[in-house]
Amino acid sequence: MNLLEIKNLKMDFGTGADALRAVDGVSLTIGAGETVCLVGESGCGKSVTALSIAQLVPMPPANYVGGEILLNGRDTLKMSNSELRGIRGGVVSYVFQEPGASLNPVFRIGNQIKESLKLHRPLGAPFSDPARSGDANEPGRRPALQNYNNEIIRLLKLVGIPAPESRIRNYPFEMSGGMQQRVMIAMALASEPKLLVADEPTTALDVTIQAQILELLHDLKQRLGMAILLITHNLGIVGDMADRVAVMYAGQIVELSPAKELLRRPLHPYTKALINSVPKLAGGASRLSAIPGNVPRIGNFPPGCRFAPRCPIARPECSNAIPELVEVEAGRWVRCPFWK
Amino acid sequence: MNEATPIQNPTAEQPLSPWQLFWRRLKRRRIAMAGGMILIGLYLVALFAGFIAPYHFERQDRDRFFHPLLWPKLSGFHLVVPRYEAGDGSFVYHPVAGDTKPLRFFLRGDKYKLLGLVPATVHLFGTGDENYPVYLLGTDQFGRDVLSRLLYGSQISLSIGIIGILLSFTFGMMIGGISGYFGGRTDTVIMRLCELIMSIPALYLIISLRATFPPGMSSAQVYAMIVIILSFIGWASMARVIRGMTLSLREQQFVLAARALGQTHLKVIMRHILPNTFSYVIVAATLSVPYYILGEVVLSFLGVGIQEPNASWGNMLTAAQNTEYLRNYPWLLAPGAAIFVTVLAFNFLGDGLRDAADTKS
Repeated sequence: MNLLEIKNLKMDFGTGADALRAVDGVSLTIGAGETVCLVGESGCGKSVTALSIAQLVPMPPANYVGGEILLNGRDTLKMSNSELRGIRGGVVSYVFQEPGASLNPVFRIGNQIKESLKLHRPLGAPFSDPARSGDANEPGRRPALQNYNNEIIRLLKLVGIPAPESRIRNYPFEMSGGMQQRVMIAMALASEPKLLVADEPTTALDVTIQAQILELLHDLKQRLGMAILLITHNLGIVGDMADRVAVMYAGQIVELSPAKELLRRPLHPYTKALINSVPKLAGGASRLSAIPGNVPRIGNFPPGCRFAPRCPIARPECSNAIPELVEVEAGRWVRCPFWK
Repeated sequence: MNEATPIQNPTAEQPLSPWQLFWRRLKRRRIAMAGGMILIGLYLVALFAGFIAPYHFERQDRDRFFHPLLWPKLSGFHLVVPRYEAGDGSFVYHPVAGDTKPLRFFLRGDKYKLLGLVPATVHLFGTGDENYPVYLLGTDQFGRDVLSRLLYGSQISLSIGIIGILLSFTFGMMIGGISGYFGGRTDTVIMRLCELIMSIPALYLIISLRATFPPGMSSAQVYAMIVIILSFIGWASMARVIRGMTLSLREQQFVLAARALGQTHLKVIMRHILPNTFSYVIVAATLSVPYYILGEVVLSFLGVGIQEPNASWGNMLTAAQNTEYLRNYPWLLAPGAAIFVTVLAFNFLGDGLRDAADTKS
């Protein structure tokens, strides 16, 4: 059984005539310990899809009109609020884009990590999680916590924060962006989740720190055996991190493929255009290549293939019907009949 | 489990907390600090009112109605209290030459309860002789020491502001937080309710609310009633502002992050949203305390607040309504001066707090 199975998820913002389809038939699976990248331009529905896993999109305006999100075989769309609270931070943890904004400015970071521990691993309680019971050889399973402070320090060490004993008393504004993101990751790991959703975790950081954070995530994944759903619009980090990549465009997955193959030989014209638009250091002073046109606005999608107006290989029949996501080679799915 | 490599050299110095920074900025504002000092002094005096007051607030001196200010004089190296005698029953007092009594300190006198708990009889000063009273602020129409009543009255008038603020701000913050956080219909209903309360002129609301309480309540009940009435009117404006701040705070990523940790809505409001409004709330609270003090004054002045013989600044001023009294016995206005100083001190402190909380300036 896969850890996460999103099946044909459809989500609107608003209802009735005003409904705007933000996620349109997204299907995605993540196995235990797997890293999947979700790539796409801003506004294509990546973040909303990821937040939907733990039902974190406010409802209303969000309105799920179809599909299911199976986490450990149970549909989170049908869970009660208390079940969802157990899932959030317990099975799925989130790390967001701007670490400075994700930490509450008025509390010391130690207290914020403690909040996560209190919620999911209260003192003295044996570490039992309904989603994991029956799995006695759980690698993350450990005896009940006796002391929050020691565990907070252990977590801060785990994410590579120096002198954690004194850092515990820092306020978020006293830390650099990279350090803040490490604290966020420590909070996310406090409950030893099975799936870590990292929503553009490095976008707000400068390049050298980006590499450190990604390396940290990669390293933690190997050690703790958790799966990662990494959302990014930076194809540069995909090759280092991901096992598989899903490329999203205008609320739909247009290509789903093992990471190495996708980068070596993209199939969908949108993926090709994305890879071409990554600036290259070598190659002299050529113009930056960009994809012509803009991402269609939600609710204002063109008929048929949504990429057709910007597509270099578009044909008249592209505007007739939305193409299906088809498996064209083993493990490679493409939403374009003319990919060859 | 081995650790990831540290990214820089460890730093171990203890950084300043936001509160420490706030305190630093506040200390630079002299007027605010002066206001704060005055308030600390006033509240300390109120706390030890029984000890500092030379007499009990109910003690009447039937020989000396409307006695003017009577201060000890320096005679050699001792403070002595002169004796005054009424001339012909018209409340005109003349000093009796050479008839004095030394002023004593820490002497036994009227019974009172220190901090409202410990029975005590020791007073800061006095003469210990009923024929040689010390009336630093004169006496009122019943021959009661105005200073003693002012001190006892400060216990009521000063505490009503603090308790009222605690009550109405707690309530206003909770309601405003819930309203702003959940939005939608909850928000609409709560905000219309706030507007309803705010649209009724406060004085009418106070008086009509007063009418809902039965007459002949004990002074403790009256005190609780005043607090409840003033808080009932005061929470609405607080709730509106907190709601506005919550509307912007709830969009902050740390709220989403807290939700993603599995925190409940209520805890998100209490732990993450409301603490971020504290710097505003503390300023607003300081600036609104005078409103509660004045509210008590208004109620007592109108005769529906604290009842005689209990003393509050408001009901002491009731005696000063009469223009004849005012002309002849101006010391009856002493509680007015006390109110003036208190309100001004709160405003100075509040302005300073606001400037110190505003990091942009």
